[in-house]
Amino acid sequence: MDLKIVFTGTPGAGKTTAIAALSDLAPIVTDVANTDPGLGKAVTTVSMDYGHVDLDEGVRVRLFGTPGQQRFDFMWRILVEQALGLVILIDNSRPDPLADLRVYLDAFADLLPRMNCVVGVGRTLECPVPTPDDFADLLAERDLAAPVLAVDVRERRDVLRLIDAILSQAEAAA
Amino acid sequence: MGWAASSGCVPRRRILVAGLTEADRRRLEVFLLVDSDRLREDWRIVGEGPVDVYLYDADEPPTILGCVDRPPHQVRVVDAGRHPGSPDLATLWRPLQYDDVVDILAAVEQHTSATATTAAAPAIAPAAPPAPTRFRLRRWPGSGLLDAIPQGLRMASFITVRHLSAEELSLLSGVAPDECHRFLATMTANDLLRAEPVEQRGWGSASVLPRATKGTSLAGLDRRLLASLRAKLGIELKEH
Repeated sequence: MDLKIVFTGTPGAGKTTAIAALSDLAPIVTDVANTDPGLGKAVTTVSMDYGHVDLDEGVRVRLFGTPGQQRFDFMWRILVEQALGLVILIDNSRPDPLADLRVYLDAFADLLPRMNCVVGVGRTLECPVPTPDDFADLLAERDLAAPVLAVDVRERRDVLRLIDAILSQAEAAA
Repeated sequence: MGWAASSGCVPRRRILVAGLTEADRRRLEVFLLVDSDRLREDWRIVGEGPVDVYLYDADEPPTILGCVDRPPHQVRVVDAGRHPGSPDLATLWRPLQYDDVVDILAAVEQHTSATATTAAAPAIAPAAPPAPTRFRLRRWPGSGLLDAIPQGLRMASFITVRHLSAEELSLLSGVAPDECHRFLATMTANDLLRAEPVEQRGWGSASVLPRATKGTSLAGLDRRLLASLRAKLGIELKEH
């Protein structure tokens, strides 16, 4: 039985970096040169990132990063099927981070009530607003209580906090 | 009160409230459901006397004709910040805090005779063991709240997906039961929890925890695999 954890979020939110912090091998990255001036980064993920963690029991935990752009949202749902958990990464330096989260809450609306999920909000030092509480309020409006954590995915311990939350949810549900 | 101590005949204690807001009353009710290990007796809110504790919000205790002549212990509820000093055994501050309420109830237990109280209460049915209660988060707590609680992130995450009692939360999280009680009380005080009563059969054992309604596609998931992943990644699970 293999397990799967999916990282989704806006372009530049740090999905690739988060996977790299956990994976046994260097993530297989499918970034390409970005031709969309609106994204503000030189390369972007157009397919998906992949890494994995092998356990002694012979079980492989696969780590997937979804394509960031909403036009690839058909891929999001394919990837999240049977996932142990979903990590939604939000870049707080973007123009409307709450609207960004709404995109993912809408895309996974039917799945989230039954899915282990955590929201990681990045760049909160430079851009403290909206606060994690604002994101929690948005989730609560939809009757969701998913963890909301301020993170810097360049710090492995922050990525582990996200995974800790997912694993706690999975343990409670198992 | 602790469940382990409640299997025999438990004295019942009574609280009367007057002039409190609905939020105060609801919060107080949930505090009593938290089942503190510091309380030896079964406390509940009643609509008439005689009572052991009388909580009121007024300059003087309101008189309730025919109900309360002399309540044994009177506690005024005031808005924090509008009154000098600090909460004590005669004053509670809003928003009501779990520890303050338990301090008062524990003091009343110590200073009065449970036997006398029980005898004075007319036509009270034999005490039943208090129903354990499970809790679930209805909203993720603010980071300031969780950062102040060791293992707060983990405990909160457990109750995002299902209702758990303090004992069940302790079994799953590896956090001591007392800390889990305190954590749930803090969440309750911040109006972050939903509560549901527990069917007592099989309650309190991780091996008989009912399955959650979510995660059905992973229903066969082995907790040992999750523990193995924690170990591989270096995420420590506190043992007690």
